[in-house]
Amino acid sequence: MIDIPKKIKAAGHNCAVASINMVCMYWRKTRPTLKWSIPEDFESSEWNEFYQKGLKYIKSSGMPTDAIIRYLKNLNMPLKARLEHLTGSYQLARLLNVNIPPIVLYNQEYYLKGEKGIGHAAILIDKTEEMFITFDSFFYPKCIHPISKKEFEEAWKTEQNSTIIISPKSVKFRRAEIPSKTIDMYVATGVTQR
Amino acid sequence: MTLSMKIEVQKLDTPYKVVFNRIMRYYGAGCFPQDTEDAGNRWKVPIGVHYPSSIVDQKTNTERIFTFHFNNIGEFLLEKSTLMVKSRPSLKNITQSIREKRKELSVKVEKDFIKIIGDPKLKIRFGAMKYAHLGIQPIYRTLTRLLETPEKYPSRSWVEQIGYEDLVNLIVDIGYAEYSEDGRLTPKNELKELFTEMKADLARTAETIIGLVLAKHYDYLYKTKRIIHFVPYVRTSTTYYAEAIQYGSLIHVTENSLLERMRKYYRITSFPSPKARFGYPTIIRELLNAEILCSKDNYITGRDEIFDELIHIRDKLPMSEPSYPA
Repeated sequence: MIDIPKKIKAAGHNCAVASINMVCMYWRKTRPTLKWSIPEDFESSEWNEFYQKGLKYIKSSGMPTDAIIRYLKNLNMPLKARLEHLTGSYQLARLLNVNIPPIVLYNQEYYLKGEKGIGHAAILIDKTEEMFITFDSFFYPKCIHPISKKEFEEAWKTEQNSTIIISPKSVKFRRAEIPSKTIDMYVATGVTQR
Repeated sequence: MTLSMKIEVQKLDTPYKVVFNRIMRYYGAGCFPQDTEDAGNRWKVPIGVHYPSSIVDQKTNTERIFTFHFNNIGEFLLEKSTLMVKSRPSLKNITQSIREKRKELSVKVEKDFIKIIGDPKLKIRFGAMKYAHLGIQPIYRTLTRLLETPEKYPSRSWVEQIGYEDLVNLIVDIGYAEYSEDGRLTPKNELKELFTEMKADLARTAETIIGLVLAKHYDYLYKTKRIIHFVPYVRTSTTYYAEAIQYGSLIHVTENSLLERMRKYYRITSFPSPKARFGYPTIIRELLNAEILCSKDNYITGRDEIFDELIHIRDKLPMSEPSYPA
């Protein structure tokens, strides 16, 4: 299980900022040799300032991922953030296998009630055969919150499998884009909806 | 240590996916694409937003998060052949649209609230709201003349001469006074009956009339006549009841947090104005005296009768609440 060093309480649109902060703390702790300009003491004012700066990027429509990328860049973090729409949950498992905690954006209302609602950000820290273990700022102070893999997949799919990957700059990703259209669909319509 | 890994990602090859990706990048996870529409050689994808709102009962320290759902706050246009984005709303436009949708809701709640507090059966003590009297003195003075000095019913020329006609016309409009043939303003039977019902208590009668005038003409008083004295009272209490409606029951809040919530609810950072800030506790006290709000265990709470009349609004709010497991 990936060990997130600090719990942050958040709700509403703040969940993305809290998750980003907690993942940055994780990297700060596990990769101390990177060029950090922020101390490892997570109670220090620098981390609080980092979190407060992040909150400023939140708009009434949520937190734009382009803003997250800018946010980390402006703060000189030796980390890189990217938004990806992964092809399936096995991709999440692969990230967990190399100790990269992905921040998944899934539809929590869909997960709970089957109705579309607001996207929610949580960190994946482990997996079992049937469950994903999330580190979720909403469930502070517990934070560690298991979710059913099958139902999560559906709720994550409604958010187009959106995943924020924050990793040290040294981690290189080779992206393989998988088309959603089959050859039959290409032949029939050229362009499809949804 | 360098790590290289392959990740498989979805190709953004449908209008929905392209728009979803752009939404996440430019606006955030609160927004979502609605159904794609065919617009000739382009795809049109309207966007909606889920907007979270947290309500806290400070006595029990219980926080509940609700989500408002607003559709059509903007749209993307995509070139059909290339799926290139041809136009999209700016983040500023999106933020503005969300604000407007929220404002529509708050105006709706405010309107219903004013209508309800104007209902005579609630017996709101409008007289307790001293500052609010400033703008509506003509109504009080006219009622005094109509009820206390029947031999001196004011003439139309007197009313016009001292510039009371606009406000006096409101008493006429709600059907409690009329101009007689000789041009004198006279009380109608409804006003006389009300006065008797109030045991000849002029203050209580005037409060009832003020309530009825407000219920019907608040917008006119505030927007057209710029009589703004009721605004801080209405906004403070609307904020309280709007949150209680959302919560589904009366909540307990502190004076300071109610002020903060009002600033958020109406998006006014400097309310009350720096000059009037010291007057805010007075506004709260007067709202308590007027029996629009109540005080319980050092917290501000609401009145059951007002809440019961307003709670039906909850069903009409475009809102949901995820039921999180304990």
